[in-house]
Amino acid sequence: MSDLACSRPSAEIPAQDKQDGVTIFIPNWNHHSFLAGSIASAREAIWAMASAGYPAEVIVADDASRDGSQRLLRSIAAHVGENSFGVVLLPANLGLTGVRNLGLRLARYRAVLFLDADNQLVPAGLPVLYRALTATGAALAYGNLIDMEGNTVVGLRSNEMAMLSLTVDNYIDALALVDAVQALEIGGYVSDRSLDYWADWEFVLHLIAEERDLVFVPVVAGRYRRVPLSMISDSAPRQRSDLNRIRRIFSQTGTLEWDARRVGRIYHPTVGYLDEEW
Amino acid sequence: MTTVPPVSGLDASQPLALRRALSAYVSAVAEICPAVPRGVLDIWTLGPVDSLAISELLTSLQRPVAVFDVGTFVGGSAFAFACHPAVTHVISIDPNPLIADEINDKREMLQTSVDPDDDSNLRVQDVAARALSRFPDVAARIELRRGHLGAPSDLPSTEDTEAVPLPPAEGDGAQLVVFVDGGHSADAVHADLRAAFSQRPDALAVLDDCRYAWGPFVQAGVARFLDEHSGEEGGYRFHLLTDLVPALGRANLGVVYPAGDDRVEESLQVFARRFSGRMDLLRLLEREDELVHLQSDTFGRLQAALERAQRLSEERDELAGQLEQMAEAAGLAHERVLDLEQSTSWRLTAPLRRLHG
Repeated sequence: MSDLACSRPSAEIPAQDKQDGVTIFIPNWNHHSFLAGSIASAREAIWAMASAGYPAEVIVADDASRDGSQRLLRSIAAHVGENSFGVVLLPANLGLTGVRNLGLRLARYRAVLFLDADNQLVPAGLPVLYRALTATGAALAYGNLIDMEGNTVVGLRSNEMAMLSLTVDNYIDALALVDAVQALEIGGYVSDRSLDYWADWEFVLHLIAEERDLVFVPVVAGRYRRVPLSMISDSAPRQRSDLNRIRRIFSQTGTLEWDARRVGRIYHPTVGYLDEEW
Repeated sequence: MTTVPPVSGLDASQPLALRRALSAYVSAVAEICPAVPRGVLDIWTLGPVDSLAISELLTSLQRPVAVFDVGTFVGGSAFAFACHPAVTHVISIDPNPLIADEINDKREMLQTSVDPDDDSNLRVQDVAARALSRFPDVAARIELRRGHLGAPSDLPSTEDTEAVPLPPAEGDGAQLVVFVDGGHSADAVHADLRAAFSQRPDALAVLDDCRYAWGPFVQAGVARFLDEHSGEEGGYRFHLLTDLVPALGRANLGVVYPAGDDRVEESLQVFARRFSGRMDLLRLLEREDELVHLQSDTFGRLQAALERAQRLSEERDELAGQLEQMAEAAGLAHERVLDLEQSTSWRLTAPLRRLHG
């Protein structure tokens, strides 16, 4: 039957056909326990978008989870039953970057917010991020995150400092708003699955290398959940070994372009640019 | 370097892909027939939950499927069925009235009407054919035919329609699904079911609009059909999909099939298993109750264990006290023995003790 499937209508939306608005894309892999929370926050965010007059949708893509996520997602889709909510159930694992690239292609709307399934959005932040992205023409808009352990707030992760140090270390979480058209132009997320752990940073560095604009918006965008067995916390030794590979891509000389330098701007839609042009 | 395999087009059995495809199809219809308000097209096309349910049901059948679609209207359901990879062929029948006759017949319910003199007042299957021509891969699996299954239409522009027979069984193990979405009166539903199962007793009938506004009428037709066959061996069974799968809370569909059809029963079980039982409110309440009892029981056992630990601790302290006293007494006795052994009289009397062995 798979040969027939190829000739059926595709769910992908070409870059030129993407509409104004936001697609919240939630890649999931074995985060059954957190899905309800992330989806609920995403749906609240699209209501916040609607209240502000912007269209939005939520797509959850399950990357062949083994923990019952797909059954849960079918059920949630049946309960929600709205055209602004969709699920994709992948039969084979694509890996995080592969699923994110799928999200860029599936998105009905031009702005895509990547929300990891164990994190949550702060709904009121999304319209602000969206206005900042569209007003500046940036390829990526990011804000601050609240760090959570269980249901307890344990800190505020301000990304403002990332302005000065993005080329030195990974300061931006994937929870950011991305212009799908620009992202697709540069080839999306890195396709090398062995770099999954650095994928967020690699993507940002790629945008910088391609001279795309990044904008920090002083708004709380989401809640970042510190999970003891998360990919990041579980992979510190491997991260270190892959770091050199990232450097080989973006800083072959080890000097100039790798030095700390200021990238991006600070922008709030009700105020305008908050930093001096450089 | 590992590369991500291309996902050029999602399998249309995917909920999102099917919904997007249906939305594109309805947009095509809206362009072809602007006289019909988009809202009516959306209402009369399978909704997100029902399209998900149909997609999952077809997947659960786990064999090739031929579909007999009763009530083409503008072709939405035929299109949805034909998109599924398991479906080999769709025959879609309709008395084929003019769009205005179809819509205006239900103007009170829809609170809208269509101008009969509008240029786009075509016959419903002409609209469907034009829209389907924009999706040639899907259209290749659909055959539109004018006619009815068991219940002729009484709309003005549908005189002289003839009954269209169901396709004969091919012996290839394919499942025939009859999608009953024609006349929604009890009489019409009853007539369609009777015609379907008299020709193909092995069919699985999927009925639209079993709930909400049309629900009482459709279910009345089903009830009459079941009553009619209740004396027979086995008879027929009817389920709302939402009864099979509580997670499909808003699904509008029902199924009728011969009792004792093990293949269909098994497929319905597969269908139910594809959804999470965790969404069932009753199950959640039972689970909560179970957890409360478990917690109470655990707490009770913990309390008992703590009390026993306390008793044992006290007993241990008491025994430790006794042990200390006894050790002290033993120490004193030992000292007395030593004193005795060190005494002059003990040493002087030693030869006597040796003499006495």
